[in-house]
Amino acid sequence: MVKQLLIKEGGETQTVKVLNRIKDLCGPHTSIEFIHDKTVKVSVKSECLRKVAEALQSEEDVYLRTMVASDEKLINDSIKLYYVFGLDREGVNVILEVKIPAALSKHYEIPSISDVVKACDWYELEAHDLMGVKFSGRFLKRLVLPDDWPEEIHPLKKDITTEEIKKLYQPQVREKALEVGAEEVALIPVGPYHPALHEPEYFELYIKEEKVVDARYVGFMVHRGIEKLGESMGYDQIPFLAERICGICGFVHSVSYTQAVEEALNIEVPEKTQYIRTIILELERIHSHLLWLGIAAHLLGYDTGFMYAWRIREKVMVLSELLTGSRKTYGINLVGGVRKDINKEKIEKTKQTLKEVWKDYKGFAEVLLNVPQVRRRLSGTGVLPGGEARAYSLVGPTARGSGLSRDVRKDYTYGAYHFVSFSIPTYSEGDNLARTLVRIDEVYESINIIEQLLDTIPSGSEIKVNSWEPQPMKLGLGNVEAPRGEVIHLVITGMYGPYRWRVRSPTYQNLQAVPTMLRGVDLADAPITIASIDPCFSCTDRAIKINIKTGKIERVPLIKLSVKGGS
Amino acid sequence: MDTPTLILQAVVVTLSLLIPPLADGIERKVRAKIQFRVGPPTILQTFYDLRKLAVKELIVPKGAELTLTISSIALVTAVTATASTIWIVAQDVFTPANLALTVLLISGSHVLISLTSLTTSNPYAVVGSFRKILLQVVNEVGFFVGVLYSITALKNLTSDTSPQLITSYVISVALVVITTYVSSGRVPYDIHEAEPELASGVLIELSGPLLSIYSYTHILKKYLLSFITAYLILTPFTSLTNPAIKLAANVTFGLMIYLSYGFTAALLGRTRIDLSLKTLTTTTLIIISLLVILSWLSSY
Repeated sequence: MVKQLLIKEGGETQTVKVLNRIKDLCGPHTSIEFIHDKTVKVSVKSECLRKVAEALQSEEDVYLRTMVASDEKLINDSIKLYYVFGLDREGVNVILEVKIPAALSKHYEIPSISDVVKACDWYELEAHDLMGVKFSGRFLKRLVLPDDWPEEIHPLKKDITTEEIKKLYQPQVREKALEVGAEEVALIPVGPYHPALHEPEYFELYIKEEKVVDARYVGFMVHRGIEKLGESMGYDQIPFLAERICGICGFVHSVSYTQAVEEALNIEVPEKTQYIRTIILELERIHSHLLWLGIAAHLLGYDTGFMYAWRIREKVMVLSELLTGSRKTYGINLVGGVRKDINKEKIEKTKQTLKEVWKDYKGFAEVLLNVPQVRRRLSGTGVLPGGEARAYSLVGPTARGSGLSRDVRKDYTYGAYHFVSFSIPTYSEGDNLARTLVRIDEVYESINIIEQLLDTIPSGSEIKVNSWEPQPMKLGLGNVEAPRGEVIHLVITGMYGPYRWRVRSPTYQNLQAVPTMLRGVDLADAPITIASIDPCFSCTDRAIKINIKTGKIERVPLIKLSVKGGS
Repeated sequence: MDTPTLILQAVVVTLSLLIPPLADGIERKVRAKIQFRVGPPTILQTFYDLRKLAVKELIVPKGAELTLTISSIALVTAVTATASTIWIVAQDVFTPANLALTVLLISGSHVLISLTSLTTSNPYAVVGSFRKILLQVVNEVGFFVGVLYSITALKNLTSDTSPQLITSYVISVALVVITTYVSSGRVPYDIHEAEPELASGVLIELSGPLLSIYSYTHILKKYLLSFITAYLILTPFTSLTNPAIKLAANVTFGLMIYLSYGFTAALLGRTRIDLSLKTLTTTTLIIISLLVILSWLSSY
């Protein structure tokens, strides 16, 4: 496909333009390899990385989709960084491969591009934490790992196993609590309260009177080590693990993972499999959006709306159980297929339920948007201009609410989406209402997509490939438009399971823009603004303490906080 | 006062202390129906909840040792306010001294509940409490102006049915309805619920028996305000003289008002909490101005 794009009639394509520009910047001998349909790998020397990043960032419809650090010492004596840029207009991925010689890796510095590509900020910090990569021209701090993590242990490196990590590092919570007299703990209540969402996260909001003047997010309270764990599992074990990445839309991760492996190993999955995966993905979008709409209503004090949304959602959950056997964590994905077929009886039942959902949902959405307090508080709050959305490489309804019609179902199509007709709801206002309206419209689109797929689903019974053979060091990308935005998985294959598996969820991309949204909003609108990206955090919370004189940040376990009586 | 009336009032006061949790249980059931939920298993659920909290271990937040004392005084004041209001209504003794006593008791109960919020060591809860106090100050002014105007209008309506007086009565009762709704702490004026969504609030700080006392006082206050509103609305349309029937009618109608507030809250979202104060202040000032103008007109 890329080769065809090179000779497209009527002038130069965006892909050709971008590749030529890279050659101009890095020299004519720059290695360009077409590794898959619509995926190009370009080897770039670290010296010209910044120039290439600047060139790509200045292109319209180009954004950083993910960045992966991979320890390939055992294979080619190097650590590699893969920067995946998406060319939306042509649905092409350009992967910049930057090599760090293993022998020099302790001192070798890669120029940071986080000032050029804002979305790269966290990726660089994460690569520093987990792989020990050093970046020059920026301040490096802990992002994923806790403060008391040993300095020279980088858990994603291949020379350390999960078992060794367990021996080398034990969280110091208990010791710290004992230091301050943990036996007093039971006497003091620490309310399980939360500033904004009913999920763990920590935001520092700097307030002047009622206005938020600045905000800072501190996340990564729990790093679950899923990527590392995945590298010790077999190919078909990982979909179960991948589904547990998210408690709401886990299926997007198992599909994204399987697609990455299938692309890397050139596995052609049966058409019916694509239909089944797509149907379930859209069902997941419906229940996830209904969940969010309910939470948004609750945050705006409209609890009746919350109850209605979740009542409608319940029908979708029951439908999910009918089609997959489970309300959540469906467990039907395999590399090369799915485990459960959809028969005629299920098709009819699904159609019937969707009709009911449509009717109920229409009534609910109309009422929700006409509750004066709800409309007023969503409108004009948490504004994120389109330019900022582009700069942060935002994805999903957050990007579409700011006028970017970015949706990988169309831009980098997969599954059975090319068999159906649907539109991408986009609003340009960039406020909380725009993001809400995107989600409201998307539910209608999802129902429409499922109905079309059910009408045309192949009648055969082939839902998985008979067999496939793993090959080492093949690179594959899998992407899915999750309810919160695109999920992208990158897999470098091994013989038993993935050699390197990188997961990038949409919240990782979108969360960096939340401080921008929060600046200038009234404090009372901060919770709904934070919630408007539909964030998905990890599973516990800690407080932090800032030493004002030194600026040092220390995460404080709640057990320790409680002894201090909150002072 | 004769013995049967005294016994009757004692019974009514005792019942009035038991009716609020029951009313809350019914409201929870009704709201669940509106929201297509099952709701609590029984309308007695609030009794069970209060009891369960009351028998838990008493934990006082560090630096907030006064909370228990103040909460207890707030409860006693709320109970006294309820008993006194019932006595005044049953006996129809709206003397200035009695009204002043009721005003003092109801305000006292509100102030003490607010003080509970200020005694915690949690600075965010204190910030939230100040917002609530400001709202209460504005609301209490509106409430007492509304009550005084409507009682005065009720007394005069027996001899004067001029349009100005009837309008004055209707507007003052409307003011009472608005202010009692606000005082009930329902959406969009549920600051004790809204504040924790932002940073923290007093409800976060309380648990066990303390929370039980706070919740019961709050429910009692909601019911008392509904009872007063019921009296002001019901009186022109009834000519009941039997104190027992009069109180029964008032209790029943008060219950209906309590539930109608709950029903209204189920249909609304929450205004921005800083705006709720501005909206209430504007509304109250407009209505009070109208009442003053009407009084001035009727004096000519």
